[in-house]
Amino acid sequence: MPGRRFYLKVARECEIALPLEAVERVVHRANPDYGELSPQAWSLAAALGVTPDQKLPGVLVLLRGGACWHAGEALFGEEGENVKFMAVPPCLLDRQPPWCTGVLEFGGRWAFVADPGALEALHG
Amino acid sequence: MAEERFLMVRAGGWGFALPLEEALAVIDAPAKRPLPKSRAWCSGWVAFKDHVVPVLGGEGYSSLGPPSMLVIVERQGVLLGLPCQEATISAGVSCDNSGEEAAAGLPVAGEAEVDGIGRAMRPDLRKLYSVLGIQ
Repeated sequence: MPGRRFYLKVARECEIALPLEAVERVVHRANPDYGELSPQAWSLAAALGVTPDQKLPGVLVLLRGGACWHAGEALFGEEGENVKFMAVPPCLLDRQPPWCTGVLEFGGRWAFVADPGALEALHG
Repeated sequence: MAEERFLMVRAGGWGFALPLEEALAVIDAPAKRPLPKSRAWCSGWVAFKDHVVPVLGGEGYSSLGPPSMLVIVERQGVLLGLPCQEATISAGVSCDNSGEEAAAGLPVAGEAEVDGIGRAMRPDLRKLYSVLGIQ
């Protein structure tokens, strides 16, 4: 399933893959808007119940739907042909609709394919 | 009674006789990866033949012990990794025992008389999947 996505690093073993079209803007700490937007951002790590990787710089991710997330790092990536998609059965997750639909594995790295709406519901 | 082949599984001090046809594979347990917001029974997942395989071992199943091996089972397209410390193939015969209760959290369908080992419990995978809510 090759495609263009944003990869949000959240914790040491938690990376989220989002479709490119779901993301409006990524704001880095050095950006003057960071301080203004920061109070309305909610932590992806807290919503997912994982320990944030403090070594990551920290970014804000503004979604087209209006939400503002705080993640450790956001990288843009275009997958090659060696990417492997493995479905995650919805019944493995404790909240429905499932926040994660599958796992992308490529070059020893892996990321959870997230449903932005369901992920947001975890926060609520 | 007809002789069958069983996968004899040692897990956390318990011994189980799993009918061989119910086991898809036995693999050395690779490092588990976490699955955030997963069901309480899921202690993580491993990749096996392009599938995400949840590993039993969270809440209610910790007495199965730390996995050095995983028995991969499958029902209706959903794979599950059962943690164990040893797995060997033996011959034996199934015995009915409707009075058995769950052992180490695993529902028991009956027993098996296994050559050279004696009686061992037969896990009920259908019921286990039902209890886990994955069927």
